[in-house]
Amino acid sequence: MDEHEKVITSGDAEAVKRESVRRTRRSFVVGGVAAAAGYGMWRMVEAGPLIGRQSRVLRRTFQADAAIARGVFGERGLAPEYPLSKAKELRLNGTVGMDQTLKLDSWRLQLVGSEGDAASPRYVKDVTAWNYEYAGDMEADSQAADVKSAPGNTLGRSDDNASSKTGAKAGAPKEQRSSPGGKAGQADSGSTTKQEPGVGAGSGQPAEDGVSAGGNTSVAAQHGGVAKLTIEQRFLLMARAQSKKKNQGDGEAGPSASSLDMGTPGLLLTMDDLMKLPQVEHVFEFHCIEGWSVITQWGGVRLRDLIEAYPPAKVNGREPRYVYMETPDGDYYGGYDMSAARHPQSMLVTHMSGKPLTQEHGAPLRLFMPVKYGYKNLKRIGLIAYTDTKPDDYWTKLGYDWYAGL
Amino acid sequence: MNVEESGQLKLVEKHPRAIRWMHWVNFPVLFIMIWSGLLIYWGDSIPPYQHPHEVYRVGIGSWTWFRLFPDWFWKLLNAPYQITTGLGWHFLVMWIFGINGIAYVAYLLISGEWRVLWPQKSSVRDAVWVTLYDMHLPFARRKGLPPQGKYNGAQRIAYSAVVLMGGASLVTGLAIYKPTQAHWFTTLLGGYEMARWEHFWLTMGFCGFFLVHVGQVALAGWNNFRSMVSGYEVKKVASD
Repeated sequence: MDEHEKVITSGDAEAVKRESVRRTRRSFVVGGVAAAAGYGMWRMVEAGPLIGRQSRVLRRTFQADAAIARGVFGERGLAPEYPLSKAKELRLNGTVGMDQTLKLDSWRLQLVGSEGDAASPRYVKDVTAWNYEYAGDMEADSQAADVKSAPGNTLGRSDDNASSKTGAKAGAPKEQRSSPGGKAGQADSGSTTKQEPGVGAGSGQPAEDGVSAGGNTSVAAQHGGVAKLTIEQRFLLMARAQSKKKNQGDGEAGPSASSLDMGTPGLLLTMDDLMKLPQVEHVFEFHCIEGWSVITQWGGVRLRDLIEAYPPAKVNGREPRYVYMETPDGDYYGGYDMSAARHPQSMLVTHMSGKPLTQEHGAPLRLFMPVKYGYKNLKRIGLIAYTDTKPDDYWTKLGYDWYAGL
Repeated sequence: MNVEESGQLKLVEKHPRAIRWMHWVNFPVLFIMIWSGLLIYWGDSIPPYQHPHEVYRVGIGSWTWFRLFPDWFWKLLNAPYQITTGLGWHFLVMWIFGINGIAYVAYLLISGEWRVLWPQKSSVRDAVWVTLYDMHLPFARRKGLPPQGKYNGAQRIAYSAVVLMGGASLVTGLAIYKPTQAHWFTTLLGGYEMARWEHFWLTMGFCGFFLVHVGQVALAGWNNFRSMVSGYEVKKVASD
């Protein structure tokens, strides 16, 4: 049958069996060593301090995978568009950063770091002083929002999205590695606002260690953040402390390391300002990291058109590498490569399915980037800041990938 | 007089070293891929009361026989709220799975080993025969096993299929991983949801293969199993 049979040894049964036992034993020893090495590698991956609730090795792998994806694809590819007939309503999933109903006429877009903004009529010396007004708590609409369990099911907890999505890897957030941009870096940044309680400015830790090797991680530091508090700011602080308005960073991931310092100058844009940009409508597929996807019609303006209209101020002679966004309460925040922000399909959305955004979907302005997973697509954008420091990112702190490129 | 009593045996090389290494590397690697994949799948399997007819179910259209998986299974696996663990492992070990699989196929092609693995014309008939024999059907037992080389027809089909399935898992996985940058690829596979469906059922296919494979190895006995570890098989010397 087998013409190419390779005979090692042949003859007396006892001798052959002895040889077989010898070779078998050797193989099992080698196999055992290999298995032990494999187990060691497993332990190595699991061991060590977590970085943003992700094992160090797996976090590094996310970053390596992102580097490969950037190298291979460069986020240049365009997402396919679908006929309107295929479009559906987007699922509701998550209300982080939207605990209260926003009064839409109190909404302004804080834009920080744009070139020559001081000459604009929209320029203010402190964008953080803008007061967003709320009309009470958001309706808890358990029918609309996806929760992880049916009513009465004991498997999942039907609490807010922040915990339902990330769950408890180990209950409370594990201690993260301190980084050069951490608290030590902030202490000597010269900004006295840091010591004031209740103001979220830079009190968080960045999501990925090593991303902020330049000291202060806050966006304001690059844009001439005011070092000393004025009387007005002190009054504002008091007012904030006394009002029922919640402090920043109440989401599961805590405060952002990239939040603005008080006294950060910039523009306060109105919806009318945005509406001067070309209006676009597209039918794109939305992809959630949980697995599901929905083809939805999106209407609004292109983020790159906003960037063209309000170009970033140069940092060290070149364009800053990142864009940072935040909800008005600072609870939810995201960081993006400038290349992703300039992607021709990245949109600042005002309409979905032909209708104005609802509060639950992030009225009056939300992000949609077909090149990113849903968790990067911030709802209810309050702040857009150009920065050359890799910005902090809500879900990155809870174990997800910063890049999240599709 | 039978050969055993003649005391004549021979030690014959059966599985090349490269194949044994890649086979055994693949075992834990595929296991990690399935486990981490299930941790990710959990994220979109729980709200059946809202999305009863989506992706991970057995059914067609708006009729669903049952959804995967039941709560006790997820609990047993400790899957709830472990999506980030799943993502982390999946996107690390995918590289090992892919490289090992590509190396395996390259080795088969270069060494010529593919000839003993790839199905022949007679393989389908042999496979049916072997299956009936393994089911202990009397007429098949009487007839005995068909002549075979290293692998019988059923093995040729199963082992070749599982290699193709591995390739399909890489392809569908890429379509899910980069549905924007590689969207032509995703579209080719029937779209994002379809690619997920394919990826999932390929995984179920691996689990099915695993169960049958382990069962057959147990039935085939120690000499056969040992050959996949040491590479050698003890055979009787034919007395001709």
